[in-house]
Amino acid sequence: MTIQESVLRYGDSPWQRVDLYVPAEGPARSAAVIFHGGFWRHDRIARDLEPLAVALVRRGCATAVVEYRPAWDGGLWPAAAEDARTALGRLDAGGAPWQDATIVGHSAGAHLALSAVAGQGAGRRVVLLAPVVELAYAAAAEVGGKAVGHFLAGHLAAGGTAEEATPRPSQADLASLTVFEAACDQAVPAELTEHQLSGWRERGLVTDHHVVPDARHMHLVNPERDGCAPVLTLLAGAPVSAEGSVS
Amino acid sequence: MTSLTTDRTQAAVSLMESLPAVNWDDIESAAEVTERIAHRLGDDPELLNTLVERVRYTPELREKCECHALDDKIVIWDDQEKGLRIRLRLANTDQYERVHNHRYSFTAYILSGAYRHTLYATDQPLDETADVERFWPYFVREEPQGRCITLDHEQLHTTITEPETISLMIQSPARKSRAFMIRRADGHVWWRLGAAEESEERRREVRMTDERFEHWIGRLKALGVL
Repeated sequence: MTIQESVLRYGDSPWQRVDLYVPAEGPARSAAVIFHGGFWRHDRIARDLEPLAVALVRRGCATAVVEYRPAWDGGLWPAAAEDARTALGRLDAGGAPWQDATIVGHSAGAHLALSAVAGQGAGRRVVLLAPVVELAYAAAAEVGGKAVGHFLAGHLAAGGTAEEATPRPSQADLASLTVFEAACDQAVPAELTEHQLSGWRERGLVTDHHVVPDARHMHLVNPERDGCAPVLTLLAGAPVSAEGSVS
Repeated sequence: MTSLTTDRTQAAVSLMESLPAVNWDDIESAAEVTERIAHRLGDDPELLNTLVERVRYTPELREKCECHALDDKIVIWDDQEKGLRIRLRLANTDQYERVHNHRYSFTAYILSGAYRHTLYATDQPLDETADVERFWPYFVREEPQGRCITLDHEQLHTTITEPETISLMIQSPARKSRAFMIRRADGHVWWRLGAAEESEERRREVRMTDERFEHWIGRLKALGVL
């Protein structure tokens, strides 16, 4: 299978772009828009998710990987969340296959994925992988070290709170909410995941929760690892096609 | 220090602490991140000035400032856990063709001056038996002010610069214990070790004096880098 690669730019910063991967032959069977993690400071970048995108396209799932500004280069809250919303809006405006895509967020990218869909009332399918969303809890637990404090620095200095920067999607925003937890996650503690899940359930958001045995934090987005298999199956729902090239 | 200076220093340190961990195992990924970091710092003379001034009263950085035969260096940030040592490379004389690799991968952002940059290939072992006649240039490019380049530690190259060519360097943690060097003009082959493996005498020799440090601050301001 040949994979067609292109870039959608949605702002002036080099970070404000979406890397698009689609099957060259015929329409995709499904689509995913992915927000990478990296604690809003880009310990990981969109480029790092290219193997995942290629694996998804080979299974018939068109994939968009959203890049956005890191906290140290223009992305302090709320700018990175605004980037996420703008990027998703631009993709949706382009029509098929993106307007029906599943929205995926890995790690801190889950915070941006939910920020992008919250308040839109668009009924999106959302899949969160090892999510870091509840910022007050994450800051107190020092998830990502001082990352939350750095991300919210300007907001907190102006008297804002971490609560205000935590997305609160409604039932109208979500068609479904699925959470994958890595059983051996070294970056996101199980207590944070449980705290987030109970909060979403209390608010009536139907939540599927899967614990991936033996998986570490990055395994969920690394198609070379067994821990990524259930994610690939959920997003693409199809076996891999023949090996191919990227164009 | 005035309270304004203190505020600026705190803001600068906070920004530096918010920088990412760099994945130097993927040089393309490292290039994308470090070239943006280089622009973020190098395009903001006030921020860079704050960071250089901070070196004066930060002994762990000040002791890493060195003078060598061709270049001096001022280390402004060192976070080995994140793979970020950030320094200014200060060309102190006319350069000669000294083919070398590095102990670390790096990104260089040219803030003032220019490089003539040459990449080399060889079929020689990188040790004392190397025949210096068998190092061939295969890529030559003028790298002007404003250019960012990222190089893997294994790449053999030369950068010929005019005096006072200033670069912001972001380098990975050491990938090997010694860098390989040859001088093609006379066939000399040698190694450069990391600071931890150098003798006390050598460390004293290369440590930048206060006078030299002040000289460079003055020159960096005159050149508009700070």
